Amino acid sequence: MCHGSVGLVARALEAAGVPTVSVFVRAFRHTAVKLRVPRVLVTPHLMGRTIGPVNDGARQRQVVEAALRLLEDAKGPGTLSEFAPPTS
Amino acid sequence: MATAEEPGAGGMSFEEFRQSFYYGSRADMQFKYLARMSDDAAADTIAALLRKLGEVFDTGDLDDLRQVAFEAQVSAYAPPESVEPDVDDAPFTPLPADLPDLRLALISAGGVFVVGDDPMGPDGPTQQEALALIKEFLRGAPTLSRIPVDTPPEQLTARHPGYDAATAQRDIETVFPLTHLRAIADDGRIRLTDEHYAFTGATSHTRLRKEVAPRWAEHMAARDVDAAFLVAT
Repeated sequence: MCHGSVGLVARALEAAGVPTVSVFVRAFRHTAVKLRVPRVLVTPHLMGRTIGPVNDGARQRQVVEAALRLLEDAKGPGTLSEFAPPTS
Repeated sequence: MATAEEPGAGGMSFEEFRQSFYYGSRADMQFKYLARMSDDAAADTIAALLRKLGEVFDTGDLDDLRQVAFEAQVSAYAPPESVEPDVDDAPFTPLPADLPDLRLALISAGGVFVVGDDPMGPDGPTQQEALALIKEFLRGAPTLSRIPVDTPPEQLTARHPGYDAATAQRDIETVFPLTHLRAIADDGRIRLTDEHYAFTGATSHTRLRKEVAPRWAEHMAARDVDAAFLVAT
């Protein structure tokens, strides 16, 4: 339900001229496809921990950085990227 | 004396047990997906979780346990067949400038709000009480909470009838990464708007699509929001 809501808000913002990036958990990846959400980073996290596990600041920061890169790099609608932790 | 194991003795069936996690007597937003599974799939999931939990007693390694829960969640919510778009259009606005030159707003569907500024008023429901109000939430229109850019995480909280917001209450960055965005802004790589936003994503999609989201988009565009970072929950 919530992922659909974010998709609808993202679509409304894009239609109003505001570019967006959205972060979804993997379980609801299909919602991004159904709504053709413009730029979506899909994370391998449990529901309710979209950006990362509790107190895992390093992972959370990686996800935020990846989403910002997607915002910059996406060339067209329906760009969906799976978050991959950087290899050290 | 009848026991719960005897048929017709008033005991709960496994299906009833599964369903109880979905806003029932054992309502648990982390495992409400058990209600969507077949009896066999749910039984296998619970057995796998318990098996891993037994290992964790010795190893202390939660990653495998988390992985079992994650895979079960993904499987439970997976659509039955390949997914095609439900919409005909695909709105897309290219970035009008480089990211450091744009004002970015964070928008979370995680039901986040500033402590003392509950969108449901000073007597707003607790997280647990909100679960009993799920139908009201889904019929209604969402309220947009406004969160100043310099709000520290300890002054934020969350409540949501669709996911277990206790997680966000422990660490708001899991669904509202404003501290991380501020740090990145301090490095000069982005600019943040003065105001950021959150709402409860468990809401009427019809009202959101037709009335509320367009109004929010107009408000944000007028408030100089050049780009938005959205978080689903």
